Amino acid sequence: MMMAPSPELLTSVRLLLLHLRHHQRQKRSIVQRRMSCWVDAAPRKRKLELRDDDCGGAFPLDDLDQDILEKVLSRLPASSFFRLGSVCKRWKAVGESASFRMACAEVQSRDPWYYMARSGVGGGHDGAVMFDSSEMNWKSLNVAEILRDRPGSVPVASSGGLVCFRTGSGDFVVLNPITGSFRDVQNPIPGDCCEPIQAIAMQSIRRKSNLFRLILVFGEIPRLYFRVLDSKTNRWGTEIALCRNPNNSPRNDADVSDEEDDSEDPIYFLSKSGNEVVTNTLLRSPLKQFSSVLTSKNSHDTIHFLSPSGKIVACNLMTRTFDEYPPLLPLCSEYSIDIVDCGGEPMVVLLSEFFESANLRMWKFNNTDRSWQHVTAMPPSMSHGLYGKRADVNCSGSSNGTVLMCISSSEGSRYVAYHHSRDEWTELLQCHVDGEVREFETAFCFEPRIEIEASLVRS
Amino acid sequence: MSSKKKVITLRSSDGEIFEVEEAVALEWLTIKPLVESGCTDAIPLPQVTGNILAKVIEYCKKHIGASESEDRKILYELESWDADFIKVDQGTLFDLIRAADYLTIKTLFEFTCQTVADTIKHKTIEEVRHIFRESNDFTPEEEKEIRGKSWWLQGL
Repeated sequence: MMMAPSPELLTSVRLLLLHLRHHQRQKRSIVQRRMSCWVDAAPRKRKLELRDDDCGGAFPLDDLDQDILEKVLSRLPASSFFRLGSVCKRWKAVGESASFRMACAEVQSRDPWYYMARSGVGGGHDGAVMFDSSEMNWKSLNVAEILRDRPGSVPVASSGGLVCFRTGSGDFVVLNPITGSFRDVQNPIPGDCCEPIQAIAMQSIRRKSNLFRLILVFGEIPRLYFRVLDSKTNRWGTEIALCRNPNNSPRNDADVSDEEDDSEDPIYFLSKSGNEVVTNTLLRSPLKQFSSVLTSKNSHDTIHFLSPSGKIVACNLMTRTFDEYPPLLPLCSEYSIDIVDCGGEPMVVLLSEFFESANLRMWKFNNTDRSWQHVTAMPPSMSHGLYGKRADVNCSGSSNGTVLMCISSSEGSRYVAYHHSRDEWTELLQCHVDGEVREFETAFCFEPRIEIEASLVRS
Repeated sequence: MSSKKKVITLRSSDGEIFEVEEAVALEWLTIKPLVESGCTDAIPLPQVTGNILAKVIEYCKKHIGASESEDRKILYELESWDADFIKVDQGTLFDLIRAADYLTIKTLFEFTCQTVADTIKHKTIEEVRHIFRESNDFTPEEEKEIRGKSWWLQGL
């Protein structure tokens, strides 16, 4: 018997079509099976019964649920994801699918990992070590092959899922330490040019996960320049000059010309690597020589770095100006200083000694009244032991507000993780490799992201 | 002017009838075009049972407008409400995921998937196989190869 379709049936059909439109990326066979569920409710019912009777709260995922499985796995911390890849072939296949990588790219942020660095033979890459802040443990990773082919490579910058190394010959390698995907980048500054590099910064471009920028700041204050690498073409842009910000020129040193700007009072920058570094005043670990913090605010990208005279320099790439911040402490105080990205804001970490005790404090610069604001201090019970150790503090932080501090002294290294949102300080256990304590001077923060390609993608 | 908000009628797979405000139904992308077209019939949702649909509506009513709030207190309150809301057995949690996927409710889908991920992240491979009713279909050689590649994940 033929009947006119009821309005309700029409609604159902429209609903079905609408639903299918939202799942276009599903495989055709999956769509067909889903349609069969719609047209005939029986298979679905059988499935429900099976689940209720046999599985008792278990969650068997059939082919229809591929996108659910992808979503769930994309939200696992990286180490859990790698571990659970061996559940079964299907799960392993998910990890290798293109749609899974897309699901991963949608995850806003991941608990950071830190590429640990130490100076010395081969840059210490043989069995490189990482700190995983989601599991709070050390992990070993074999990136040796890529770096052994480029002798003298040291990490210089990191951002998003990538770490940038500078090779012994002055070129660069950009690497995803998780996947081993990498690319070589030529040094844009010719060998006969005597302009020293002041800072190397890297910036991942959100939403387009494979895109990044590598930025070099070079020259000598007040003649600073920068160049930007476009990751799409792997080519460097032209040299752009940075001018001193006329609104914020130093007030007190009108009689001091820029060349003589270096303070007369000695500043001691303590470093374990001691005599390896030869500078007039600033003594830094070679691993931190080019370290900088790049932050974005209202589409203004600013690179902060420590100048050789120990001042903090902020370079605004948008307005093409730079600015020197007033010193934080009287210059005669003995201290170790570093700049770090803490929740997307540049902050200064400062170890100082007063009245027979050591303080480790974090500060941020208020641009409106050009003054330093105290943010937090390490609990005295933790910082007390640093007194008289002439320790060197090197930090790496992330936009999610986790900072890893490496505090090195002649007595060894300590590591402290600081969570800005909870104002929580955690001392980490020492790292042991093959039964021996492994010490690191600094760390480079990155997000463990399998979907990010460092290699040059040819379109 | 009528102060009464427009109400959409939904019918679950087991025939239960629910009424939700139009603003809530518009967040469900699968039925959004139907709602926008001014459909007055009860919209049948043959893949969602009444008890799950009730939970979905409860979640969406709570979240409408609140998720975008910048008031830290509201967000904190919402977070603890979410934590209570998701204290359900695994079967219900997975039904919620399926319902959120089917109705295309982004916030609920992400939240429930994240909850499953948080539940299994520290579990052993065997425990996860049990939950998902997956069996180990690797040959011993394949398993050995996978282990060899992921030795570094164990931590030092």
